[in-house]
Amino acid sequence: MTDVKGLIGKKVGMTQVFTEDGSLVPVTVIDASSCTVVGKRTPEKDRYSAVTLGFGEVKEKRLSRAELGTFKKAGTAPRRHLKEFRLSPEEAAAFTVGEPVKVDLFTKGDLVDVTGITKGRGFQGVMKRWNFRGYGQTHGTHEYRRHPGAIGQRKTPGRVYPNKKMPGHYGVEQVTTQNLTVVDVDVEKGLLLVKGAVPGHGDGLVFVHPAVKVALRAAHVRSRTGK
Amino acid sequence: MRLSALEYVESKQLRKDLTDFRTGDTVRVHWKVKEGEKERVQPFEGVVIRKTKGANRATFTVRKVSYGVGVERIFPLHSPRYEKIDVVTRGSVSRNRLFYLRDLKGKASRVDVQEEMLEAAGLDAAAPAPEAAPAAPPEASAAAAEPAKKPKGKKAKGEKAAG
Repeated sequence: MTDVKGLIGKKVGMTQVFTEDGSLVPVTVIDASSCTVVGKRTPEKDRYSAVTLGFGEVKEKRLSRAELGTFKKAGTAPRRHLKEFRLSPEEAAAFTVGEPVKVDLFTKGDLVDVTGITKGRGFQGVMKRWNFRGYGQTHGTHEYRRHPGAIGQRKTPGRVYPNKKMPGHYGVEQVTTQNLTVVDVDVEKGLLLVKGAVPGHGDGLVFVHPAVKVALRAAHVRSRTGK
Repeated sequence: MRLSALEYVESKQLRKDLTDFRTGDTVRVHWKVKEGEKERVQPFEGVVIRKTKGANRATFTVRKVSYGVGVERIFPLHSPRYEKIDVVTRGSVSRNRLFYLRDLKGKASRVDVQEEMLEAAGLDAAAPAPEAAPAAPPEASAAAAEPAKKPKGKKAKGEKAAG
């Protein structure tokens, strides 16, 4: 029960737009035009409730017969990516199989969380990977400018602790950026404009959800006021 | 060519009523200022020393000298926050970016006015007093380059009004 309602999109890139009051805000454009409902999971049949969304176009010959069958049943064009969004049966009722998911799921001013796969940076040192400070660039520092320093103690414990921050592969990991404001919604073109940066490279797959913290905050207020 | 989504988003933001001006021109930007509930127009007049390109990200920089202090403002070209841009004079310059103006003071920091504009101004001035004709254009250009010198500017305007 981690995922709530949301949609699948493609990061197009960043630009800036003027808001109504004339101020300029940096935005990321997310293209969700090919997001469609491919299937549903029902408590009766699957013992849980969810909506399966498909995204992106793919040639028929690249899919297996079983996969093609899914799309044929739903009456949609084959989709490259599939993802299930866990929803209660009541919420799932708003989605019909075979229909596109409109970006007006979100409205201007909403807060959203955007999940994506970050850009790969390869094997990186501790300064880039873990934001270590490194050592002074001058005052006689010799071949030790970007080093991590000591990584443990002495005979006790006589080993390096697990999960010690060290150099290694950085990037290509799932990251969620929270509480981004929706600046504009273009239903016709299926575009979502989100204020600020979003994980991943251009053309990368992203998932957009309503902000988790907004729901948490609302629940907190409810518990306090007793409403 | 299919418009990419980014270009589409940017194209929606472009202003249709762009004024045609170049670097070296003296312009007056009618910037809308919000004070509480009210909105009023505050003109900013000076020489355009830089224009940058890039769809809705295009900007231009206006430089003026106010009470002996150089002031530069960068305006987004497609900002909805300005009412209009007036071109006061067309400058005759051989650079695209006039950063050298920052190092110049007084008379040296004036920008030459394009000849066609001089002639037009000369004809105007020639009508009331033929002797004043050669003197008027340089004065007008000086007033344009240094808006801080208000008395001169007023004088020039007064002469024109008389004509």
